Amino acid sequence: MPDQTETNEMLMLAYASGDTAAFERLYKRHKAPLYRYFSRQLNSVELAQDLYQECWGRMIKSAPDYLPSAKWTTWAYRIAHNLCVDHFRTVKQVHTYDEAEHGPDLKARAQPEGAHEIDRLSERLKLCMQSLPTVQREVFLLSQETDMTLKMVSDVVNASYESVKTRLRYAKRKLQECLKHYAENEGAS
Amino acid sequence: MSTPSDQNEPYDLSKLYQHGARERPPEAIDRAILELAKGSEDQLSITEKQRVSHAMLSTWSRITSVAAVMVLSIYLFFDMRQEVQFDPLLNESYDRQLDDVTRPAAAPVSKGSVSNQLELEEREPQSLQPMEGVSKQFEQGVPAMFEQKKAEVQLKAKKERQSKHKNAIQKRALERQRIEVPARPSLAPSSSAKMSVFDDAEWAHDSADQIQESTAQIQENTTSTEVAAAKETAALMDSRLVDLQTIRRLLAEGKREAAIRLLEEFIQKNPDYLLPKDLLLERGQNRLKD
Repeated sequence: MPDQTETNEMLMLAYASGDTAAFERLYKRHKAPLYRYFSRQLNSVELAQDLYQECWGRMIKSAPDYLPSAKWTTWAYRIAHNLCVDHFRTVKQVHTYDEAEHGPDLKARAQPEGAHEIDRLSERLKLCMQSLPTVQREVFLLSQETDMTLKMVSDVVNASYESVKTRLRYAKRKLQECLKHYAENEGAS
Repeated sequence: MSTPSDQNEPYDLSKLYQHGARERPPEAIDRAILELAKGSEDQLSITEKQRVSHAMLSTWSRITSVAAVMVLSIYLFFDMRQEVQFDPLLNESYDRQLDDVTRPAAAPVSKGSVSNQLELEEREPQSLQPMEGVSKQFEQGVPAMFEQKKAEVQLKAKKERQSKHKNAIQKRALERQRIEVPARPSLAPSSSAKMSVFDDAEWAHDSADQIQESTAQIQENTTSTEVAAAKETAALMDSRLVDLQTIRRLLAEGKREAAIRLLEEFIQKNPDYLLPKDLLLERGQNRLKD
């Protein structure tokens, strides 16, 4: 059970002072959300793992210069965001929702008969998230995986508060529509 | 992070997301990252040492700079204090002393009546005009200082005027002496000169005495120069007469050529001298022969 009295910032400073155990505790606390951030943002598992490792590597390298001027999560996810942005710049990904493209894929990856309804919906949500524009998906991911406020998210993604708010609203609306559309298709079939 | 609109939506996105959020990084990646973190421990400790040394250095540099500033400030303070002790304008105690000294001097003027005192009070701000901007701390001492300075300047100017006036009178007397030597001019200053030069009666009285003295001196100087000139003229005449006598003696002895040569030299030396008839005749005869 991790000690919640130790803040992320304290652990990072302890690691910067040479305490590797502090880093281990920090890593255990944040490895899963950060990994999911990469894995859901990028369509490739290998790429997600690669960037995930790169992200932690950068954090380790930057540890001596770390100053707790902002929340550690903001700092860490800013690094992750920058890595994703660099990757998208390299591959020049087009962030558009193409229903025709994703529709058959959704059907193909549908849960088998007899699975729990919530499991099926959860899997469908993952598929629907892939259809979101990257900027909207990122905001949704950060809002679900971290306890960051919209202001902090806006700092991470380097956008205005209003813009982040709009992105999140659109993302949620599209996900609802996607899930509804999927349910309708399932009912029709 | 749910919004009010979420409550009306058919699907609970957060619940669905959290239900499916089970992905974890592979253990191999975990190990790699933790090893990387441990591997950089040495580097971190070095960096930590550097940070500590840097912090100590910066702390010491701050302390040293603060100490330097303090020492400099103290030095400047004492230096300025020392200067103030020598600067009468900045030294309050000096001003007070000076004020005490100069006030009695001004007292006879102000003692007379209340009106005089008021007049004095009215005059004092005028003397302060050049010192406008000086703090009130020095305002009391400044008028006395200023008055004393003013008196000194006036005295100096008076002396200069006296000496100039004396020189002018002497010069004028000399000029008049030259023009009117036989008449022995009176060197007493005329009334017009008096008006132009004298500012007050006291000064006029003093200068009249000086004029008399200077006149006597000039007269003495004049007689002595006359005697000297006469002596000089006599000596010159004597030398000429001697030369003429020599020429006559040579002629009498029959040394005509030597006498003629000496006569020519004499004429060259004294072209304006009227030769005696005998020598003039002798010279004429010699020219006819040539």
